Amino acid sequence: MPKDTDPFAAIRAPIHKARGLPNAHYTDPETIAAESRAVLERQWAGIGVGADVPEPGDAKPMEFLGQPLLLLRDGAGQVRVFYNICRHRGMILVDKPRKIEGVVRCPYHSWCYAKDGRLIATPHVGGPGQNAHDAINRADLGLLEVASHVWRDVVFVNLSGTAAPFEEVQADLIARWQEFDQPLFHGGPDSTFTLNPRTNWKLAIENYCESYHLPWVHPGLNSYSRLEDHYHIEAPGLFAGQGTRVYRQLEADDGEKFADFEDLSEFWDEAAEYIAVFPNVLLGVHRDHAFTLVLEPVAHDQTAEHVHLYYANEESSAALRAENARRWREVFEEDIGVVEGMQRGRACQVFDGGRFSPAMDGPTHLFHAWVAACMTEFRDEG
Amino acid sequence: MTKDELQRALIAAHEDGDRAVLSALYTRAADAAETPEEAAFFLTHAYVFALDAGSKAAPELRARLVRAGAER
Repeated sequence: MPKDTDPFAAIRAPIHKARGLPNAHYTDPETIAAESRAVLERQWAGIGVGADVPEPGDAKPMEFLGQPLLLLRDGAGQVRVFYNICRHRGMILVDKPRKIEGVVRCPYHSWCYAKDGRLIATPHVGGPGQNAHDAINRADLGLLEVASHVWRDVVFVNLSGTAAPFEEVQADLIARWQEFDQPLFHGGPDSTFTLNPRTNWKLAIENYCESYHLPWVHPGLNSYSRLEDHYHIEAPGLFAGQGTRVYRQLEADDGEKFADFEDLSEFWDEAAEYIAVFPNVLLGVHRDHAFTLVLEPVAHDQTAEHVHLYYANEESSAALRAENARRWREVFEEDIGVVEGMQRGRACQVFDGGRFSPAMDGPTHLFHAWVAACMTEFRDEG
Repeated sequence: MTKDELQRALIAAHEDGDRAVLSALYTRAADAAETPEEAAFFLTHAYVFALDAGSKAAPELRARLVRAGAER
């Protein structure tokens, strides 16, 4: 295709010339369906966290891009992701979160699957009281497993099964945060919550990436975390975000603070980083806690933001964890007005995708350019 | 337990969703069956509910089914 007719060329252009993704990527079902295949199905997308299924046998059904999935921690403690359907007649296997004590038994004809996905019983499949049949080879009919990888407790899946291994794709980020490669302790029920902004999931990414909005949308940060205390994080095609050099630990009235992660370098004494892992996972790390937001695209203008907070150990008081969750919730809620406002703005027929500040919007443009590159690759292969 | 009593107990256990009880009752039904085919039918249910419940009885029930030619 000649370059001048490439709809994504203007988005991939250098930032001082680039425009953002056009409205259709936020409003048009056909465009969004193609985009979902290009940037969600074919990449490593987050669908949940290991803490959703904390114990062996814990199972949680979920939908991602309309696909029925089953998050299941097997008997060995490994988190696995299967399509949540029986290989017999396609019946949904698990319809609500629960503990699988023995096997996953289909509620229709009771075909039974081990927690590792093997089909182990096919009652009456050869006639009444005959539980085998030559035409039904159990070894070929285990649960269909989705390629998955758990990193920092986030469960990433590659629905297409075509992506390179996660550790290979995100090697730079894994190396960047190698110091934080240590046990994470989920803060429990008080350290998780879900926000439901009426916006396309990409706008939550775009907003999270940049610090430009902080003094206007989060004025409470101005007193100690000024714009000039932040720096851009830009890894083209992989991740983008922002860092701060003035992180201050939360301290209770009695002086309690969260324990630090072990053996961190001096850099992290007052630094913190907030990174969007493309496509849909937002991570934050600090010396004493971390958080994750898994963005669930519910509809073109509806996103569920699943927030989880983690600590270096289980020793901190519930009150301090609750206060930390309250503070972060307040910050994330402050962003809802702008991500919803940008979504409503995408109805404007003369909006051209907008322009980027070359000084301040680098990480956001990098995300747009990545989406455009994925779309171009998808189109060229398609 | 008569056949009717067993039938009523099975219906109640299905309503309760009590898989351990279901497995035990179907095992009794298999033990009382009048033909090998009927026994295999009930034993299959006993095995499935034992699997579902994670019961230690499952391997022996499976072994019985294999011996009866109902399972491989």
